[in-house]
Amino acid sequence: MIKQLLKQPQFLLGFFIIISLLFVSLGLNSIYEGPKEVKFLYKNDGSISKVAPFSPTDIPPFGTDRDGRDLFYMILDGAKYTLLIALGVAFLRLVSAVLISFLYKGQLKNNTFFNDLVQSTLYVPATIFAYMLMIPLFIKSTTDPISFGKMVIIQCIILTLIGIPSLVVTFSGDIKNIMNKDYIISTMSLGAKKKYIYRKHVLPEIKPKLFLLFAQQAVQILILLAHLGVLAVFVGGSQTEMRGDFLNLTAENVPIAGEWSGIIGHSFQEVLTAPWIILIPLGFFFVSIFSINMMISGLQNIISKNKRK
Amino acid sequence: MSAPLLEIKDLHVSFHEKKSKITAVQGVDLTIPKGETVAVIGESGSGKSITSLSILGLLPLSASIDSGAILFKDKNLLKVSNKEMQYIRGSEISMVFQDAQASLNPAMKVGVLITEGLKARKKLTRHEQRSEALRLLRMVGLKNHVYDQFPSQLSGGMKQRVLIAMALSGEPSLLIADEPTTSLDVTVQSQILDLINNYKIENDASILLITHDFGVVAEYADRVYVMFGGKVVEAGDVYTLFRNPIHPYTKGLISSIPKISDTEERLKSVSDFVFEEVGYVGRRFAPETYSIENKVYDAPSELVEVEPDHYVRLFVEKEAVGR
Ligand SMILES: Nc1ncnc2c1ncn2[C@@H]1O[C@H](COP(=O)(O)OP(=O)(O)OP(=O)(O)O)[C@@H](O)[C@H]1O
Ligand SMILES: [Mg+2]
Repeated sequence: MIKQLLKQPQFLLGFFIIISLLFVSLGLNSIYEGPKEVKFLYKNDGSISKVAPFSPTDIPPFGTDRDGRDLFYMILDGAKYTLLIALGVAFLRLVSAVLISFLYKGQLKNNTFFNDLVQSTLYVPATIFAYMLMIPLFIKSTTDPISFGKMVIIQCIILTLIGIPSLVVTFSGDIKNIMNKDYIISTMSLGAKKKYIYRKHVLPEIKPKLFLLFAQQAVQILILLAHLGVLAVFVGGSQTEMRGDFLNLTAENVPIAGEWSGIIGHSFQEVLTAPWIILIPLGFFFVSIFSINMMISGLQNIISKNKRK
Repeated sequence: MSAPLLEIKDLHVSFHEKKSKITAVQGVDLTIPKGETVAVIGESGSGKSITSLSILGLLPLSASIDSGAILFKDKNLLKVSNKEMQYIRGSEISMVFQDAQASLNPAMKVGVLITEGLKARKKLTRHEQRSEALRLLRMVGLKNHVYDQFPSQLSGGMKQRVLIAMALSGEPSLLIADEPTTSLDVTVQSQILDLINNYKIENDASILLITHDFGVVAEYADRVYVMFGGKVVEAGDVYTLFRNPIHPYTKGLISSIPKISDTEERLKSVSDFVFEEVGYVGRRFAPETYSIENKVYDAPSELVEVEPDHYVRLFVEKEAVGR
């Protein structure tokens, strides 16, 4: 399967984009600390000509946000958080769902109630679940600070949990179908153990689907992160900073991690005055999703090719 | 008749679907003596496969065993733990399935498939695994190169041989062969049955041979159970049954064996015989499916020993029926 994937140009291109983004992002800090914040642009005579945020034409390639931070740098720096969260949560979702499906296959076999329950939740946007589960966390953190690491872990767990039920339904169905096949019964009649059958017969059969679902889940999580950003729910939480001069002091929630959705959420009120601050991270979400989708279609090509064999 | 190896006592199996309950096996009694071939013969849907799957505890999830006992070497197989059952499968009792095509995982090589049972019982090195697989392949008359082939590359007869090699790998004392030759042509059919028969002779093993072909029964079986609608309708040793079949259903099956001397234009089918007789020694044959009276159909029936070791199913209530 891996060999076949290496012959799929779509898959390779998507894979290349994601991997390069990740590597650049991971290596960035060690070689370059990032540009200084630029809050003002001066004319030749020394007077102030413009105030941040700056547009991409003022400070190429992507401009700055209202604190004068370079968007290009922020995007590259944030890529690792966004992508690793998406890939990591997708992985966790799959592993837990597969394990649960194997463990509880027997118990869930006729549980149509559970199925119906899960089916109905599929029509409620995941964003709303995530939002409802995360808000209490932020409220709590205002009185009783939660460390950054702990916050990220809890949020990733929430993101993982909300994706598991529907995956469990999918896998339980698949496993049940495979376990009812004649050759499984034939293998069992030879005294093979359940564990052996899961490992040697069932898992190889669902493996291509696992790859596919992993990619699909990663896309779903990226979309979810973008939505959460708009709702000002940031992975890693936010800290309150006081802004403005002493006449006009306002409290503002600033995301701690430089994750893409944080960039969006933090500047969402500027969507009309400085649209690039929103559009550029959104564009990167788009590029990532597009890349993963290319990988998905490469995978699908192989799966359908193998089925025809 | 030597000591029994396996005894099925009053086995009832039913399927639960949605809200309805379908009884598939209704009170089957069956004895398999050591070293003998017992044939179960009957039409499609008469409960042959379900009976044999009950022995190995491999019934579909929707099926349940309502009552009965299956005694094997002094153990009730319906009561043993999962672990014990797992041990018994393959090493004590194994099964060759009806559909060889579907019974082999298409994604696995024959060499791997063939030693799956062995690997479940003991650790094998790669070398041991290979040499054992090759020995099994030779035993069923297949060449070494089959080891590296996928099931889809084999003919129907070869697949059936692979399935037999798998089933015999643990040297079971009871081999259940569920219509092992249905889809094969006649010459291959007798080769496969000979293979099973040789194993029986060499290992003093017992065979439960499920078939719907009385010709096969005549050639290979020692005892015969005729099943109809989830019940045994006639049982006895093979000579008695051929010499003196009593139940009309059995008679029908026997007469439908094509004979070379047959000059009739068409082969007889079972339904040509059903109306000829309705009873024996003043009692009706059960189950009476050709009656429109449900009362008769559901009435209690029993296996009656009509001569030593020859049983026929008759209704319990004595109705005046002439012979
Ligand atoms: N999976 C199932 N779900 C529901 N009912 C079933 C199932 N399998 C078998 N049955 C029922 O059990 C009865 C006996 O089936 P069984 O498979 O034992 O027949 P058989 O004698 O082996 O027939 P064949 O010669 O076609 O293999 C059938 O009439 C059918 O109604
Ligand atoms: Mg059958």
